[in-house]
Amino acid sequence: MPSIGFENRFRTLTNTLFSNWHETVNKQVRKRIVALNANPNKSTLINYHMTTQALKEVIAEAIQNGSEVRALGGAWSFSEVAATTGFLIDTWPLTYRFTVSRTQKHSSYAGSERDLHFVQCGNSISSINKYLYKLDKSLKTTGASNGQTIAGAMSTGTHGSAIEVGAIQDYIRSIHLITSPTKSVWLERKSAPAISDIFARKFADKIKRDDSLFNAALVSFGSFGIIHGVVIESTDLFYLHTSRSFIDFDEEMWKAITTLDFSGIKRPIQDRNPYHFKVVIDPNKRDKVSAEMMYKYSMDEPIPACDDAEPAARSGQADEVFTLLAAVTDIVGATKDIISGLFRSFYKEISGVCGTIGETFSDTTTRGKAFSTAMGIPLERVREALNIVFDEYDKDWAPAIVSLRFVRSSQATFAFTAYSPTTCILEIDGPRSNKVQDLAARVWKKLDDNKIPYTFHWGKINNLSAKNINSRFESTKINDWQKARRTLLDSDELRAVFANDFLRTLQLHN
Amino acid sequence: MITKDRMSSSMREARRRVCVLAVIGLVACCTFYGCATYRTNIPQQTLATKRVDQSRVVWSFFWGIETAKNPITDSDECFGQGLGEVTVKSNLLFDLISVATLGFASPKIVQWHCASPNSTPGVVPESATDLGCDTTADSSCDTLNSGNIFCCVTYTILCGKKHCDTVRVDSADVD
Repeated sequence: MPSIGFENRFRTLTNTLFSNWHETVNKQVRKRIVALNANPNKSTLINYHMTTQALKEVIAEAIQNGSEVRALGGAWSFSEVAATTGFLIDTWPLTYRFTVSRTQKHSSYAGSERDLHFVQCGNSISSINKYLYKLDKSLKTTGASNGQTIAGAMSTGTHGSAIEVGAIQDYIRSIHLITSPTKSVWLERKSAPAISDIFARKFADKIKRDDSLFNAALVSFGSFGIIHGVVIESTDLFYLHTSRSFIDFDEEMWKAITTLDFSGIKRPIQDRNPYHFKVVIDPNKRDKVSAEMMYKYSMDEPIPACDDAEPAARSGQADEVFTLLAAVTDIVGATKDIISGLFRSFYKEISGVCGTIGETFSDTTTRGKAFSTAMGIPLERVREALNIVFDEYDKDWAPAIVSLRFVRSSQATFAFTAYSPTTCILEIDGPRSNKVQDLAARVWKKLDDNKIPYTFHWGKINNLSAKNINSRFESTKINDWQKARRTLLDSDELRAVFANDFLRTLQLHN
Repeated sequence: MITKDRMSSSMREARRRVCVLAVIGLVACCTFYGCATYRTNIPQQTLATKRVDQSRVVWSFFWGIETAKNPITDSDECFGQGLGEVTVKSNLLFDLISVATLGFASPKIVQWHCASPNSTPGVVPESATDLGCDTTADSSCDTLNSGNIFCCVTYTILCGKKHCDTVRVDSADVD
C-alpha cells in the first residue's frame, strides 16, 4: 500500500495538554492527532479505506518514535483508562455509516439486515440515535447521557439500566480493528456471525471469527488496537414511558432492589415489568428514595397518557457548582440539608413522560469537576453493600448521592456487569471533594473487609491495581483477556504501542 | 473545669473561623474559577471531543471600539465542521477589572466546542469487484481537501492499484 502521509490527512498538535470531560485526568501528550475523513459529510468506502491507511501510518510512526497510541472517544471516562502520554487520536470526526443489504449479512444471521448498521468509531450515541430514528430503528439501550462515541462507550462497558438488555457492548456484532501498521482485522463471534465475508473483507485485511477474541475485544479500552468501526444491532423503534416518584424505603423496596420483584412497590403501570429501573438515594434522608421506572411500548401499541419528552437541551447541571460545593463542604461541613435540597431539585417527580430512547436519554451531562464511582455487585449482596455505604456516610458524611441501576450480565470478558443474571450497579456521585473521595475509599475498603464481591466500571473512578484486580475480575477472565490481546497484537512492539499507564498499573500490558 | 461561658465562647470562636473560611473559599472560587457561565449551542448538533486548548481569555477595550484579538474561526479550529457550542465565562476578578476601568477593559473567558460531522450514510457495493472506485476522483477531494492535489493523488494511487482489484476472500483471510 502506498503511503498516504497521515500528517497531510489529519491535523496534529504537538506537546499539548489532554484533559477529560470531568477534569479528573490531565496529561501532557506528545501528539494529539485529529483524524479526519477525506469527505467528512459523505460516507464512502474508498475514503474509509484512506482513513484506515492513515491510522495505520500513525501506528507506524508511533512505533518508530517509541511512543504509545490511544484512540480517544468522547473523553468521558473519569479514570485514566483512555489517557496516554504518547499519540492521542481524536476520533470524533470519523462519523461514516454504512447500511447492510440482505446479501451482505451473514447467511446464518437470523435477524433482519435492516437491524445491522456499520458505523465508524467517532459516531456519538446521540448521533446514532438520530440516524436510527429516521430508519424507524433504535439502539437497544444507552447510558443516561449520550455524548460518548460508540467505540469509547462499548470499550469501557457503558451501560444504562435496561434490566433485560445489557450494556452497550452487548449489541455490537462486529468490530473492525486496526492492529498494526500493516493489518486490520474484522472480528466477530464464531457462534454468532453477522456479516458476510465479502462485506467484511472490503473493510479489513483479515476476518477472525472467534468467540473468545471477540468477547475480549469488546471491552478493551483501546488496548487491542484502534477500533475503526463496528456493526451495531438495532431494534425496532420503541417508546419509553417514564415516571419518577419518591417511594418509602421499606421492605418492599428492598425486595425490589434485591430480587427485581416489583409487586410490592408503587408502580404507575401494572401490566408489565419496567424496562428500566433506577433508584437514587439521598443518604442524608433515607426514609424515601427516588424510583425511576420506564416501560417499553412498541410503536403500534396504545401508550398511557403522558407528556412528550423534552427535546435535547445541552444545558447540563453544575459547571462551577461542583467546584464550589466541593470547597464549601470540605471547609464548612454542616451543609447536609443544602445538598438534600439540591437532590430534591435534581430528581423532581415525573408522572408520565414519553419518548424514544434518544429523546429520553438526550445528550445532556454534568459539567465541571465531578466525582463518580460505579461498582458492579451481585443482586443478593446489594443490601449489605448499601448498608456499608450508609454506615460510612453516617460516620463522616459527604455531599454525595447513591444510585442503583440494574443491567443484564454481559458476555464481554472484561464487562463489569459480570454477575449473572443481573448485575446491580451501585454508584456514588458528587463533586470531586475530599469528603466524597474519602467516602468512596472507605466504602471500597469495607466491601473488601466484608468479602462482598464487586467489579469496577472501567471508565469511572476506581482503585484498581495489580494487587486487587484478581479480586475484582475472575482470574480466568483476566487470563482470557490477556491471551486474546497477545493473539491480536502478536509482538512486544505492538503490545507496547497500545499500552498506557493504566494498563501497566494493572500489569495487563504484556 | 470548663465553664458554660468559656465553652460557648470557644464554640462562637470555632463558628466564626468556619464562617471566615467559608467566605474565603467562596471568594477564591469566584475569583479564579468563575461565577457566571453563559452558553449557546445547537441542540441537535453532536459535539466534538473537548480540548483544553479550545479556551481563551479575550479582552474588549475602549467599550467595544477595539474588540477581542485572535477571533475564533471555524476553519482554524474546527476543520470546517463549524462550532457546536460556545461558552462565555466571567469571574470576580474579571468583573472587578471591568468595573475598576469603567469598562475600558473587559476580559472574558471564551470556550468552544466544534460540531461533529453528520455524515450521510453510504452503501457498500454488492459486487466483489467494486470498491467504489469507479466514481469520479473528485468525490473524495471535495469539501475538506478541496484543491488538495495530494489527496487526489493518493486517491488515484488507491483506486488505481490494489484497492480496485477484486476482493477475493481466500481461505487464508478467514480464521
